[in-house]
Amino acid sequence: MAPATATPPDGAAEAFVQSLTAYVQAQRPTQMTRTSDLISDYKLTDKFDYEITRTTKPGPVGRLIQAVLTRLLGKVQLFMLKSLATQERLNFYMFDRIAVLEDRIAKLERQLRREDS
Amino acid sequence: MTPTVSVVIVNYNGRQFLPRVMQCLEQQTLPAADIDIILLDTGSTDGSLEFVQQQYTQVRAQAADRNNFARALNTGTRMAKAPLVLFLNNDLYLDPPWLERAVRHFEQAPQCVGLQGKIYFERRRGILNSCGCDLDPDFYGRDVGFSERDNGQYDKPAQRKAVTNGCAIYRKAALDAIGGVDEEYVMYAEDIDLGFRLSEAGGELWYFPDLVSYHEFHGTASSQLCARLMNRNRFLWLARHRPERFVEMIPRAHAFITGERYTLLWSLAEGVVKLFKSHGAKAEPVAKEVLDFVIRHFDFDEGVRLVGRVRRWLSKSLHLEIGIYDRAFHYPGGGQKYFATIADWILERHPVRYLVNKPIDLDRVRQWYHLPLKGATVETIELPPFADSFHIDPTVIRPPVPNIFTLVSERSEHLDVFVNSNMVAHVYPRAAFSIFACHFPEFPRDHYFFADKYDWLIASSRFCESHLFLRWGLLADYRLYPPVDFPAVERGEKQPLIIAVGRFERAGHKKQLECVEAFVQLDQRHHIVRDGWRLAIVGGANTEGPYFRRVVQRAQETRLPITVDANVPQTVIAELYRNASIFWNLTGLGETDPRLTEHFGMTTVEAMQNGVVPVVFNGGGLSESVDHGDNGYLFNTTDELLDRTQQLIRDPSLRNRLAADAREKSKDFTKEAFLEQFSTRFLRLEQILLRGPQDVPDIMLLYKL
Repeated sequence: MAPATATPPDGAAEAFVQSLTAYVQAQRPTQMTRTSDLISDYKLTDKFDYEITRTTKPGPVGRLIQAVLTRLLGKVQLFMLKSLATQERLNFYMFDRIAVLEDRIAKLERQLRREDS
Repeated sequence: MTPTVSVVIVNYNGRQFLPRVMQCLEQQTLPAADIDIILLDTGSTDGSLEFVQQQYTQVRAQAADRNNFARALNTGTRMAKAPLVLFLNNDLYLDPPWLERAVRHFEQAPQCVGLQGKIYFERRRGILNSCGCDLDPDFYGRDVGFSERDNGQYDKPAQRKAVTNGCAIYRKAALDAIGGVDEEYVMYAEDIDLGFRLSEAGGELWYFPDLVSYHEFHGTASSQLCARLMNRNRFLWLARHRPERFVEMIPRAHAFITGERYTLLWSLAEGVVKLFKSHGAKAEPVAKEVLDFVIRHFDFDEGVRLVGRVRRWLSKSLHLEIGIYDRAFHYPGGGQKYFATIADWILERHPVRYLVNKPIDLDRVRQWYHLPLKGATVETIELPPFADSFHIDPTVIRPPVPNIFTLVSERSEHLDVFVNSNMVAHVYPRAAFSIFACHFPEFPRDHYFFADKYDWLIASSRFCESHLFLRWGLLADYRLYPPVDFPAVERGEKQPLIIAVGRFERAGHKKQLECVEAFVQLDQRHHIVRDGWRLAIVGGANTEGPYFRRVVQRAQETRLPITVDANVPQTVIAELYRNASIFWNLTGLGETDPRLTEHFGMTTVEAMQNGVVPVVFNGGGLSESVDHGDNGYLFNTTDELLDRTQQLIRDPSLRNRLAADAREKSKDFTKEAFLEQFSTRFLRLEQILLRGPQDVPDIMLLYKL
């Protein structure tokens, strides 16, 4: 029986890989760019933290924003954990991990219930 | 007499379905002499093969060489004696006239090379499973009529692009002419590819509604495996048949939409290899577009990694280039021994290069760990910020300081396997395959964190595994306990001796001082010294350090038989293990920080190997080696420690029983057990990296199922 796909000639693979290697190396970012990217990320994070801190201090609007944010983050985290736990359950050999996940979910659920009441 | 139809059934753990499938074939209106049945078993563990061989002697049943559905179909085709070959799932039941009608359709339509009938769900009567195969606009294979109620909408014969290999009958000559099923697909969508290739060769594929059958559906394959394979095989199909749409279809892949980065990136690497295998150098522009996509949507590092994977799979070399990065390789430690043991084993098969940050003579390493490390090489990558310090502490590298560990990433580019053996999460792995070994996630998840980019995340204990999740939000891929191979000590008569073995840490978190106090209390309560009991504390230490001196001073003050020794030779420790009856480990007692507990407790296992009954703190990794009441005791408070110890002192038969069980349990942590666990996975990985995934277990390992 013939192979399902025709094999390209010898040497072609090497040329193909070399071409891809040269191509990807040409895309290499300089250290400078990468570092400045990271620094700008860092500054953004600082700013974000600052905004959050600022809104916690003043009156009802700030507190409301914080409550909504906390709640949203909690919900997102809960959703992610639940989907993780569901996926994990399918992997029947990972019982002990599910226990950890379920602990986290239970804690978050308790916390969200407290916020609701 | 030559039969008319050969039926090829590929079976994996489907014994429960087989009697009914066989019954359906026996009840066919086509004479039995015209039917040749072949069963290929792809590694069932439910006794399917033996069952068929005993119960159905007319069936040619044999084991397939691998658990690869597509490959088994080809084997079946080669074995077929008839000019028509029916591929039949082990959970699909045919109506009695099925074969007779199919043969007639072939006689009436000479241009037809393959056909299928109307397949219903077995458990959802009246609901259709398949009336032929087609592709949706995103190039996912789909069954025509899937999940629709049958209201006669598919009651006319129709030409199809492909037919489902769950129940499709082909002309053998047509299959032979195109080289059969493409085995790289392993399972799923191999029928779509087959249909397109048969059409390319001038054949036609048809659907006939009068051929009725019933399907259990996913009788023996998990839906997760199906989803991963559909995602992967879609890229193989696009690479072969629609390379011009390959890149456009990446963001429409389910794995992209659901954020399954890992599945997507491996699928793309396999797709690029397929592009080359199908189109040769002509595939270059598409492959470069794929690279652009990966760099744009993920990272430059992922682009390099993709090329590395393609290079590995297109290379003819049977050697893997393996690099192990260890920032602390220049001084001895348990973590270093962990991977040195693995390296020593790998070196028999592949070259291993150690990537280190401080120059080190390999002969010294050989002496430290008693390992030959034959043929290993060392490459020093000097990191300027650490030029003057003995320790490499990655936590000091944080923005705005550039990530100096990028130098290590760059060295990993040309490797097939890169191992980060000492938890430097700052290193983005650029090798084709990467492994991150973790003993405990000590550092916070912070900037320059790439531990989540590794293919395998190995945890050295369950304790480490749970903290990987709690501290870093990562799930370990598997657990590999460290090897404990203290040289075998000749068995001797046990003496009334309690020992505690562990380093004298500066902060004293190994709790030697507490050991002294506990012994004092034990004697005050039960007068054990009168019966000849004594305590020996040993371990590595800076003998000038304040903690060690405090422990020595306190031991002397008690005027009890307590000895405190530092940096003693291994023979002395061996002597203690041989003579001691009870082993104490108080590490973690009263602590709330998980870093201050025992992450695994190698000395505890060493003691168990030598029949010393462990009484250890119930925390950290200690509870994984000691089973409370079976081979030792776990305590939560000092009172419990004293009670359990006194119980053992009072009852020599209990001591003997627990000691025997401790010896037994410690066998789980020997060097042999360690290497056996690692090598099982590594040998499969090796095959995958050398030849690409060949069967379902390969796919499950590569795609983390």
